[in-house]
Amino acid sequence: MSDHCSPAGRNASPALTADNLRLAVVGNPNCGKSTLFNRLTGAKSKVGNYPGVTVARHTGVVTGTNIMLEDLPGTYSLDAISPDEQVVIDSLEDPTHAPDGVVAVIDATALRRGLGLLGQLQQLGLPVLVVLTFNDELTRLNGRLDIEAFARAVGHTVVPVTAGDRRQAAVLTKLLADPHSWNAPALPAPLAPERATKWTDSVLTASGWSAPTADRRTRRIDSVLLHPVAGTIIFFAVMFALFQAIFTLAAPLQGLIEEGFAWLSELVRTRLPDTASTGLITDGLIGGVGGVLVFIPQIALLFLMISLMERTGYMSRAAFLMDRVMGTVGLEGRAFVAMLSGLACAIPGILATRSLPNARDRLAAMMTVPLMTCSARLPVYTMLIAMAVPLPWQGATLFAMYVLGACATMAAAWVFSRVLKAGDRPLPFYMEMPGYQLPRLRDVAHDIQAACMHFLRRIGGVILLLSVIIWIGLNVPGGGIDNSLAAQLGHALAPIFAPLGFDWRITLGLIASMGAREVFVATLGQIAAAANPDDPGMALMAMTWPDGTPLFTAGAVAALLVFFAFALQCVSTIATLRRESGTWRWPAIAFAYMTTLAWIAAFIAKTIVDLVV
Amino acid sequence: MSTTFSSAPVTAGLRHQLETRVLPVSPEVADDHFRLDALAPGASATVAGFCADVDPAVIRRLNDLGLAPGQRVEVLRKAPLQDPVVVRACDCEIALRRRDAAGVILCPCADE
Repeated sequence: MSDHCSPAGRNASPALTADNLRLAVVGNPNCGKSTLFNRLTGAKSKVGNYPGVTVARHTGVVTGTNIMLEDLPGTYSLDAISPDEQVVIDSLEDPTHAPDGVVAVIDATALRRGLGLLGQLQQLGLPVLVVLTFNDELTRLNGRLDIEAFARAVGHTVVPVTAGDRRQAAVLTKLLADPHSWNAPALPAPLAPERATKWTDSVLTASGWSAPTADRRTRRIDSVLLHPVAGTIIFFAVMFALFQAIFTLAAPLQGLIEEGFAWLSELVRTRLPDTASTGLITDGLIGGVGGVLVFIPQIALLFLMISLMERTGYMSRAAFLMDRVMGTVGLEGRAFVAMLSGLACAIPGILATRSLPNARDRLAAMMTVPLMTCSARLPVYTMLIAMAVPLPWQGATLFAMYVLGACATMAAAWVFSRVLKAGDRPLPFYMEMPGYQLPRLRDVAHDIQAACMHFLRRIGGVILLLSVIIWIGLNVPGGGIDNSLAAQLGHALAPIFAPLGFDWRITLGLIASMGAREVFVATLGQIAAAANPDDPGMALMAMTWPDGTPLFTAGAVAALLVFFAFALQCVSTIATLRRESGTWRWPAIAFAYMTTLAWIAAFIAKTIVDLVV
Repeated sequence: MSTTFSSAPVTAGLRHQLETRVLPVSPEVADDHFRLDALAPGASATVAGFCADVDPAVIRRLNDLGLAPGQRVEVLRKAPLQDPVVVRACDCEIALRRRDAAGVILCPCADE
């Protein structure tokens, strides 16, 4: 047993040193917990309108203090019915690292349900501070609560917080520093359901509580957005608009970035002597960085849309509309969010599967999310589509690639959930439908920034490193590309990809793209630039087989598109699968099935396109 | 174990206490009772209990979600293909699958 911490009674005062005071933040999903956490810590973990957005464990230090806050996943009960929910009670009951106090965040508009959780928290024997959120919302919805009477009735110190109120934040920060100053009820609330309900009723009565009315604005919006026909049409229209916007609005910005880096590369080239190391800097380094940055506009736009969906509350409506569809493949509506996150990157998508209560559901989703069209595929698609598809059809083709990815994900999920299906307890499906809210500009801007920074940090470095390695591979030992180290590897593997219409250079691109898919563009750009440095895009089109026939035929481009749709060419995804599934078995299976699927599907695509064109 | 604080015995059994909570279940639906999935959008009723064939863990979770005996439940709408349904319980709007909604037994609402 530990010799201190775990303050027993409210008066027992084990020496809590200020530098290691640890508090756990607990509350229902969507109760404003993450917003409070971000405001106190300045850490700005992502806050959404969608329940379960706080999937990971977030810790942060309260600004200007030594108080460590842990933002526990949103929960309706300490009674964990799945391994994932176990996190909350495990960290609260941890025999060696139990927190010094609990900050219970309660949404004033959902007070009755919040009290259910508070009653359970009282049983922990830890100091509890109640933070009451959405008081303004309660008033707007004609509800009423006497906060002082409420504090007396529950027996805890209660702090109301309103977004943007600095004075309240200061009061709260001061209180957080001293858990022993928090009031505690003489007796914890009963746990037996009937008595628990009576306790809740008595607290509500004593607090002058009157329940909020239904939000008429939300009802009106829902009557359209959740309409069986209109709602479904709007849903698909929103999705389609999203992808058209990414294609058409991002293009001018990308042009600017491309021009900027071309200018920079030229500037460096003219200032430095014409040596091999100059080539490394201009082609390898500057070209590589430009090849990463050029996709920022698309990623920023995608995350603008996702952030808006989450923060307005539309995301859970989308999950509601999609639940039946996801149900047919053995998953649930929430898996749709993981899949949608997979549009940005498989890594957050895989992490988002944590919100699935069932471990088998989670594994099935995890194994299939990498088939969703991630942002790293986008540059590859953009380049290939621009090469082979007429302009008016480019947006539609890109949309079709996203649909293909989604369908492949669903089909694979069906197979996996069937294979993994055991005599498990069928867990209940429930999802809160939060009231619609106007998102705050600052939060949306933060979401976009975080996504872009994530892309740059996680992927940027890998791309840069590979760009340099590729440049070396292409230029060592010297004497032209045909003589390079990379070419030898490409030649060795080319026979495997020959049926797909890929030569050793494309094979080389595929090898390089294992580090990160978007490197494929940089690699081909470099190979082409080595042959014709003036215009990489045109240079690719000019590439030929040894007999002079064009390399990038419609069939080969189709095969490449499809190959990229299915293949698991991403070491980061493999690493994440390893970490999240706990064994190497699952990433190995994922790599094997996806690569096999990719080859077969690419072969079919090439055969069909060759017949048609 | 002599250093154990007095709070330890309280917390040690919390999981067990939560898991062994007993909620009213009945093997069949009484004549004047009906299941939540049978409630039409716009209608409301009071939770009477749960079907005995539903997993106890699921029942406890439905209870913690606000579908507790004695609470009023209103069905707001149903998704395309009638599944899932959105209900309002304890002042919150929650989407539930038909399968889970069917585990909740209701009795007609007395007008308050």
